[in-house]
Amino acid sequence: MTIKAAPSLALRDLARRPVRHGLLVLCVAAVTGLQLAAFLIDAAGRRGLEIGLERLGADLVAVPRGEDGALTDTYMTGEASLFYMDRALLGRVAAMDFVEKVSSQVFIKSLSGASCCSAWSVFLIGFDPETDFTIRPWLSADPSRRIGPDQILVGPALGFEEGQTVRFYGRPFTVAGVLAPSGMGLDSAVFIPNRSAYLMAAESGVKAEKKLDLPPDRVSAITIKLKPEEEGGLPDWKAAYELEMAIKEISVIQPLDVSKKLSANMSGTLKSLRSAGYAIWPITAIFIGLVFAMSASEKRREIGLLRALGATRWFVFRSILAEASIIAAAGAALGCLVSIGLVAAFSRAISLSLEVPFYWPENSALASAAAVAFFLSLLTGALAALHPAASAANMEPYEAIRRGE
Amino acid sequence: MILLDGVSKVYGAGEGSIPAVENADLRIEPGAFAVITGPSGSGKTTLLNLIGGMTRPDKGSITVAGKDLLAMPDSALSRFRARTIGFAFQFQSMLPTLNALENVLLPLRFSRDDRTSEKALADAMALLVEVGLKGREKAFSSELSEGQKRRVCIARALVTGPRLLLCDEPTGDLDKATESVIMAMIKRANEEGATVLLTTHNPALKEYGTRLIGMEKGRLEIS
Repeated sequence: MTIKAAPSLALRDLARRPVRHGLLVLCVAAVTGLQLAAFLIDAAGRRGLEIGLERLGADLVAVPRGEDGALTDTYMTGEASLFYMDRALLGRVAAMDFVEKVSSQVFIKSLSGASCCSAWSVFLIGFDPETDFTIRPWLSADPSRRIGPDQILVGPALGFEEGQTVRFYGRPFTVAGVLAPSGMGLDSAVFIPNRSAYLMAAESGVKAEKKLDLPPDRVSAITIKLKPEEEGGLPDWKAAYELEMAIKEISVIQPLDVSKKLSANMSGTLKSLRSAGYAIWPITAIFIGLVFAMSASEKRREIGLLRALGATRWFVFRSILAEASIIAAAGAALGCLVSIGLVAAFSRAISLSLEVPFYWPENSALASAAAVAFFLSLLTGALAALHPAASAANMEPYEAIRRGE
Repeated sequence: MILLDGVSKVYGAGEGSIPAVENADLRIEPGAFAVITGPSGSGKTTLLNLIGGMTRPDKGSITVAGKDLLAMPDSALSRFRARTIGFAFQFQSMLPTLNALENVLLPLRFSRDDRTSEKALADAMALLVEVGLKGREKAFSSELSEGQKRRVCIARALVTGPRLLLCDEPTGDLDKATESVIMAMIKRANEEGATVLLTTHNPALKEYGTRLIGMEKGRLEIS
């Protein structure tokens, strides 16, 4: 094989010291991977939030006074808190001038390690199929269908199929539809018509191992659709204020509150990931610079010989820069692949530990982020090797040979 | 072919400085075979490297093949070295990441020789055969004996058909058989028109020279 260009000579040189260069590749991979992981978690959380908030479908959600934080946790992670308020409040909310329609949800129970489902935790929620405007629109197929008394709607994380029969507290239910994924905790929720939920609770003493207590005439959350402003409606924030002023027993949540909570949950972890990346970045750059300075020093005689045979300074400079760039590119590619693989593999764990929804970003966004991380790392490698490469290239050939002996 | 005018080269500075070449004036005609002798540290290697454009003198001027080396920018000087000069060093100088054939081909890459790659490959192979390394063209330096490596380096020095061949103790530490092969190739290059400058400790090699140059403490003693 004929040596035609500096990069092919660089590749041969790199293969001579696999351990040293392997370590460099791992350092670059760590820097790239941390930055990309931070981006992925951030983007997945934000996308999950966008989709989740859209899924929420309501302009406002009312919960018992003081339970607003618990509701956001419930929606985001599916780790339910059970709280209730008088059903009569539903009528009082609906009676407000600026409210177009309302529906209710009753949080029944959060089951952990249930044998029914592939998800670790299942959240049973009662809903009113007659008034519902937030759940059925998200059926994967035919959102307008009617939901019968013992039919349920299920989140996609549970692994159920349409038409399947599932038992909760000894009562059989038929899966009427699977909801589109949201990346939020609601993906592992089972929505049971209120009437069936109360029947299930009433029969549980006989049919189930454990009795289910479900307080009658109570609701957990009231989903609220506001009238358009041109039809006498109010902006979200003003409507929430008016409701809380008029009905002292409720707290009213706007989707923005959920968003703020999400950002707060994520910021610490993202900051840690980014800080780790930023801290390793200069260390890696210094490491690359030192290794290539050492390498150039060890290869002085070879560099001198190359120059004696007619290699220009530019050729020597490019050879060393090519070595650094190959290492940086290999590390960056490895970092991107490992980062994407690990975040994908542990997406559920990340979602639970950060208490944020997780929805994989669009391929284009992922590709752009990977490309930016890749080229930043490549640039770091090349810049770090700049000084050693220039020093080596500027040596007189005879000086290089003499000092390399 | 070679013209040195008042060339001096000093290593270091101040009281500890060592004058390697002092006020050297030298003229070598094209086609000459000059043998430079002298004790270790007399400045022979430095003189060869000054003539090869491998280092710059502190004083004086050097003209090789009509080119003022000190006036040439680095890129032109590098190209000039690749096209005009063949080097045979006093140490084995195979590049360890390239095999024997790739080592021999390397100067052609730098000289931007206009021969086709097939011709370059054939010429390089022919030189390797000539130095007795047929079948060893794929071997790396770690797989060759000291004598074989030196033969590769001689083949590499000759592959561009240089007009000037600078040989710094090319047969030092080698067995008689290898010495004969290497000296025969250098002599043939000289017969084909190359000017040769060869440094040696070996009195037997003086016979090859058409000119004898002595060196003592950096000073030339021209006979």
